[in-house]
Amino acid sequence: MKIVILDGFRNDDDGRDNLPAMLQDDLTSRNENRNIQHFKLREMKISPCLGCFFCWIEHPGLCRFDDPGAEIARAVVQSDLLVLLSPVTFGGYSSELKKALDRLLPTISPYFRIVHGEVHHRKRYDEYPRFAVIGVLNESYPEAEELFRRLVGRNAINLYEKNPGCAVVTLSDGDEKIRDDIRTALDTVEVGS
Amino acid sequence: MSEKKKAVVLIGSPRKKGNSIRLSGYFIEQLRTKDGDVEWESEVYRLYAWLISQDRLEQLIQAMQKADLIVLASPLYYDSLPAVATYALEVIRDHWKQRKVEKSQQFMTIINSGFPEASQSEVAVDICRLFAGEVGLEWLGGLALGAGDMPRGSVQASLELAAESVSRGKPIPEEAIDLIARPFAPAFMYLVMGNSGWWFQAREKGAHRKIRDRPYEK
Repeated sequence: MKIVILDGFRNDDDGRDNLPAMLQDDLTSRNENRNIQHFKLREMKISPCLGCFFCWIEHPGLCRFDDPGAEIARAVVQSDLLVLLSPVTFGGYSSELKKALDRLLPTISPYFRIVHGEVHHRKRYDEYPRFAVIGVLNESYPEAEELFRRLVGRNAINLYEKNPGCAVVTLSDGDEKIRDDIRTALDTVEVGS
Repeated sequence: MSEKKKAVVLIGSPRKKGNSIRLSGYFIEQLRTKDGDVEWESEVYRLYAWLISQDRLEQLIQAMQKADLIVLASPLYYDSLPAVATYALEVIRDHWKQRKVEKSQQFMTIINSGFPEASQSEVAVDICRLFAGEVGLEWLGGLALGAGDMPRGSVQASLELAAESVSRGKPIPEEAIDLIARPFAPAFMYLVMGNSGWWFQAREKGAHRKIRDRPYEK
């Protein structure tokens, strides 16, 4: 099983070392023979998406930038499980995570489809990975957590996931609670071995 | 004698002539025509150009420190703000952690998406609202629209209404929010128009036969 972790922690965020470790521990505890690619985005130079639609109408499926952003897009498409890991930032994802997420645009089609009465984009590929998100707060912040979960719900539609895994963990809750929350979120999307 | 006020417009789009610039430009133009007792000056900062160096970033922060009104105009990328706009908000928050608040400042946003439903931008608007709360800006509200590149009277009317209210220091009225959120077209019609639009654009580039390519196929 191929797993991609997009790690959106910034250099000075709390939890930037132990959260990825806990996440990987959980994933390998389910099966130690897994191919896990952990992209530590703060160490990667990824050009921001220019919204130029090169990947849709000039060279479909490929970004004009041949950089780690493109490498990540390929890895995501070829994976079985995509996990986003991010500090909860104003209720959303960090800029580090967004710089990689925005660059997934080449992996979808420009053509539209209707989902529950709303317009969204069609798939480019037959299969996409399962999708889970772990958000991290230093302290309890219910409003931000609620908004984060709404964002995950919206992303799930656009990443073709009907039942995303989602946990918003609070560092002040302690490691045991955090591990439990991560486990519960990943139980939702576990796809065999 | 008129009171002088300053609006700083942050553009979250990478485009030099896109919808974010056009919509915010019209809003500022309308702002200037309202309330005769206030004289508005404005500065526009394209974040993709202003976050590239520490020097420019410091200038941007200084400008924002002096603003009475801050407007973030941005497209929707994957249901929230683009990475560069998110980075701008993070940087502002980091810089303003210890700041001395010199005066009351207000914040609003205009979010435009490529889908017809403005509701798809609600999360992005709320991200801006939480940002405002965290950095001590008074939240005036957010205007979310779909298909912003399709000109229509309801968008202009909304921006005019919003400008009228904001010029008096008041929040964006619900009427303006509802007006601008009116879909350009029903979903199915938008789908048909949009899909043929993509095909024609690809054909202009000679890529219409490759539009379904799968370079990352397993």
